[in-house]
Amino acid sequence: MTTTVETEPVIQKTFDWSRLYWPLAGIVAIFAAILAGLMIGETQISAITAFKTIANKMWSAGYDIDLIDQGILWEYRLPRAIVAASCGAALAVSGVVLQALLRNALADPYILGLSAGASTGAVLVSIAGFGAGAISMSTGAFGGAIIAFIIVAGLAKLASGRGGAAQFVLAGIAGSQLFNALTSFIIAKSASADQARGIMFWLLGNLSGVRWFDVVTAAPVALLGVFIVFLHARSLDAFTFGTDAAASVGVAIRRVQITLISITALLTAIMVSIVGSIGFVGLVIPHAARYLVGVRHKALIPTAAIIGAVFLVLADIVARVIIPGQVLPIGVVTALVGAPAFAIILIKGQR
Amino acid sequence: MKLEAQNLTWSARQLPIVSDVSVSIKSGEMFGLIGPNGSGKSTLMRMLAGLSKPQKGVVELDGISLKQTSRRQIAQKLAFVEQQAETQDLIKVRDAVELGRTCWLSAISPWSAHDTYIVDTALRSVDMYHMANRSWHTLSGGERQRVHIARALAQEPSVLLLDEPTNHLDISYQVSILDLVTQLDTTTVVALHDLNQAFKCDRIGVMQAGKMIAIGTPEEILKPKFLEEVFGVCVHTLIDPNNGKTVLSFHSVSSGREHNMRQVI
Repeated sequence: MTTTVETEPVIQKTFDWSRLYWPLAGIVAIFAAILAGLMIGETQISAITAFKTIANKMWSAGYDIDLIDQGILWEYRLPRAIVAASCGAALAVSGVVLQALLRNALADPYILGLSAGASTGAVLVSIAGFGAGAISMSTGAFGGAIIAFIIVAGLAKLASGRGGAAQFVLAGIAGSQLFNALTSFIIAKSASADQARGIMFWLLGNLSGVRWFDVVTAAPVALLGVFIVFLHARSLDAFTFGTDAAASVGVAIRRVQITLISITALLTAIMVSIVGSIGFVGLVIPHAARYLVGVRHKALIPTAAIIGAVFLVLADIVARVIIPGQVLPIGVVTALVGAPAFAIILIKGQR
Repeated sequence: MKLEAQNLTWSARQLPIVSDVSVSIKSGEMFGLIGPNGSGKSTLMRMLAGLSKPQKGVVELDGISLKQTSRRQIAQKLAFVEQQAETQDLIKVRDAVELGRTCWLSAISPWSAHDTYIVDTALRSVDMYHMANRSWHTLSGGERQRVHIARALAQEPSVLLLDEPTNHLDISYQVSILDLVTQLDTTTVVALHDLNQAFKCDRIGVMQAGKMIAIGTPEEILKPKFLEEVFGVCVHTLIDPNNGKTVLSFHSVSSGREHNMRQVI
């Protein structure tokens, strides 16, 4: 106990403008990445053409530019870049949430069985002919993801005594194995070689089919999801010492767990249904963000969202240009970059 | 603030862990909880803290049931220090203590200079202020426990519950943490495994096989005959020549017999 009585200091409240530097830098980085996504590809397009196209489309500016360039930019590259950014942000933030709530550094959005369920849903529709053409592959994937999540969550609940978090990881593994086996079964039973190759591309993440229709879903969902998670930053911090400690400092743990895990599941299900399952983003980006700004979620959540967005836009550029005349599944790129990056983080984390 | 428990019962798979425990802890009191391993101390502490819901019975804070109180409101009145809560996160000492402010903050009332002041005060009162920027994983067990106590103090609680706060600690930390707890003005409930430490409490409750078998002052409870029955060891009292205080000395029952035998021979 200190014997000196300290009087509480009175601090004048002035707004510290320097606090805006990093958020602004992040937004600039996302726009720069999207601009790069517009310019780079099979045909190189200048930044000026890109700006003119956007001005033409949004304000009918009437600039005279090549219609093919304009079509590639507006119908193909811009929606693709925006969806990539939304997807990267959503997956990275989902990873942050799950690593905090499950207190497991290896947790990623797919640990809830979502990716495996989405795959099963997708192959059911595209190969087994479920729904007789009335439902799209992405609807099937979304349905599959949600069903898998409900099964995993139910299993975790039934199996949980007090160690709920560990049960979730185990239930997720069990669920993923089951749905992956179902997917393999359907492919082995009814797919032709061509279909199998197509589904393989989809399973590894594919942005080729992305249009404005997908932007309208992905972008608002990602923004809203990240925002709601951000509102829970302080609660997520409280999970540092486990659920009991979180409850002790006043977090309504049940409500927070249910809200945040449901949001994560929904975000991931929507993203997987649009672009397939892109690995490593939800696992590696949160660690990279922690490496930069520390473990406090108020800084970690926006940082992870920004890095995730930028990373996936850049990964998509690489996927499009690395082999001339061919588009690589983006999941291949994220894994090729992600696996070594993860190794480096692991080694550095030990020191 | 008064903490009252009535007829608390909790069992796991039909096995009673705590059965029908009632206890009333007075405002400002330091209440010690002793008992052998597995006697239900930790489970009772968790129910008192509102972390486990009693299957029967109620816990009341100043007459209001914990069931009718939100987690946030409970945390503003009552703080709980678990046995050795750990983390893998690269968290700093100050971050850990700041968690204690969670129950006072919201979107409408964000972090302010007042919160920083409370955290500073809590850090000073456990003598960890100079280590505020140290990483959690560089701390010793005693330092970590002090940080947990500072986190609890940052909640500005009226009631503080500590589950074996000196467990696994070096003797110097055991003494300093217990002194710190004794000096606090809050109502305190502390589970203890070292019976000599229990002398510092105002009152002591004794748990055995899930039941509260006795409640009284240290002088009433810490008697050799009674402790022998509860803990199954031979107990002798000694007088510390330095301050004239009573000290308990323990021997296993068999070695005690041997001792008596030798005397007979």
